Amino acid sequence: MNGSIFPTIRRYGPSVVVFVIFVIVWQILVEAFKIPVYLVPPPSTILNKILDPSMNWPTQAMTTTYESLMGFGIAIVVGIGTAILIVWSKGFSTIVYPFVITMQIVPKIAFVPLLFIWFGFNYTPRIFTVFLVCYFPIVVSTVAGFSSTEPSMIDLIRSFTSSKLDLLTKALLPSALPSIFAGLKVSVTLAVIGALVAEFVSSTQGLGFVILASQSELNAPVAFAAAALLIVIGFLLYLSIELLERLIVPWKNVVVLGK
Amino acid sequence: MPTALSILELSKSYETKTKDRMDAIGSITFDVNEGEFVSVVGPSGCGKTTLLKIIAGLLEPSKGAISFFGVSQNNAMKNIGIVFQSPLLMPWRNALENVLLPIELLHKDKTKYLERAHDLIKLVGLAGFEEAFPQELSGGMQHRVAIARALMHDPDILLMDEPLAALDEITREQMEIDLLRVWEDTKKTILLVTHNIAEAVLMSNKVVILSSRPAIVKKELYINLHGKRGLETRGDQTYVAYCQEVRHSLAL
Ligand SMILES: Nc1ncnc2c1ncn2[C@@H]1O[C@H](COP(=O)(O)OP(=O)(O)OP(=O)(O)O)[C@@H](O)[C@H]1O
Ligand SMILES: [Mg+2]
Repeated sequence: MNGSIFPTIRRYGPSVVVFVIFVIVWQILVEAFKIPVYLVPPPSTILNKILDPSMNWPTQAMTTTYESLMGFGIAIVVGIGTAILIVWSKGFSTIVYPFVITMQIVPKIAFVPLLFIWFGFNYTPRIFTVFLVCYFPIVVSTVAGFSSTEPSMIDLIRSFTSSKLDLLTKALLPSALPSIFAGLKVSVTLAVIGALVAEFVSSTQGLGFVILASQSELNAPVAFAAAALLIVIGFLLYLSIELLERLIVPWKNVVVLGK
Repeated sequence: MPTALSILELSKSYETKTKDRMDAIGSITFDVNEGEFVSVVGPSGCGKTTLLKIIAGLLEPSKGAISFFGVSQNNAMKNIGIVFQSPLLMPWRNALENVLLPIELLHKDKTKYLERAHDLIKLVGLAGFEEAFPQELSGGMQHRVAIARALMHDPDILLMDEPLAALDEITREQMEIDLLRVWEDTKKTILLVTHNIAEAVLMSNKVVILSSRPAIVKKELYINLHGKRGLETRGDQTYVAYCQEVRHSLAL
């Protein structure tokens, strides 16, 4: 039952070292070949930008994080809810599934400008965009998780009760948790991308807005700094999901072929 | 003794994807008296699990009837404990919580049953492992938890589907003795399905011998071993003779 944060740190330690080496090499190459700052800025310049208080990074980063988390959270509730509807009865499943699939295959990004027209130029369309990209992986992984419940486990429960709710809460949901978390990990990384895309379309703040603004000024360091922060946000969100998984699903099998 | 479970001309055919029908059970009729230990033996695939599932109400029979204490299955208060071929413990629950599962599913007050749960865990020889999770228990220990769970709600009848088949010889023989002790302590009516002849003869008052698929009852053999059953029974002459007789009937 390893719920502490230390295994996480130990696991990513080597990657951090590799990353630091990568940054150093980057710095050296940019200086050695005298690559212009507006093409590829050196890491030192990007770092300076990140540390520049006039850029208002905390506000910008919080905006994007807020949109990502809200959309992601709504997608969890609605996604798992949809999955429950799908397993609840054959009838629901035949009605609901086609809609879920259609929602995934329509080019969602193409509709983002429309969302702003429908919902106004505020947070709502941006959160909605995040929701749209997060929703499908959660539904699919939850339904797959439900189906992975051992059939005899279902028999066991049915030998005591015919209540579907008991079946769901005592067997299906716990059995599905490892699979649900797999879906959440996919979704949470998409969430940040969703927020970014929505901010590209319309916004007055957020990291997507900063990147868009920097483009018109050919300000590569700002764009790189914003991208770096996006990576950090994405990583932190992903790690929180992983940490949560360790706490909630301690019985999960981790398969590793070799040491 | 009253009849606890009565199975009358039961048959079952499955609808399959390839063929239209598949006869699993031809026709099975036998009774289990209250307090009896009855074993059903038959070759693999003859429909033993199917039979237990029908008794437990998990499958509809194609024909025939089942009654508990003279009341037909549909109207009877279903009070059955099942031990499946695999222990089927929930990995997210510790031993105690697994044993308490029936109480939760029957929506009874868990706190009132804590003592009974502890007693049952002791009965199956797992005292001290209440907090252990299934992953931390050996196969044999997991089966013990499954047996305690099946007894938790004090069922009238305990159904067991080859509960020991997956165990090694040494654990298995120990578990058989322990199961006999559980039976003597609880005086439960037990229906055990197995393809282990020695096990069936050692444990039962009666062995029901099934044919291969579609199963019919080939013979009902009453076992009378005079006195206590235990480790020494395996060397007993009458015991060996009974085993021979079952083997012979199966081969016919
Ligand atoms: N859901 C099903 N659909 C179709 N056929 C089935 C189904 N379940 C079982 N059968 C068939 O019915 C027959 C009896 O199956 P069952 O599981 O009852 O056998 P068994 O006696 O318990 O075997 P074993 O000793 O190997 O556990 C088998 O031949 C099997 O192929
Ligand atoms: Mg079977």
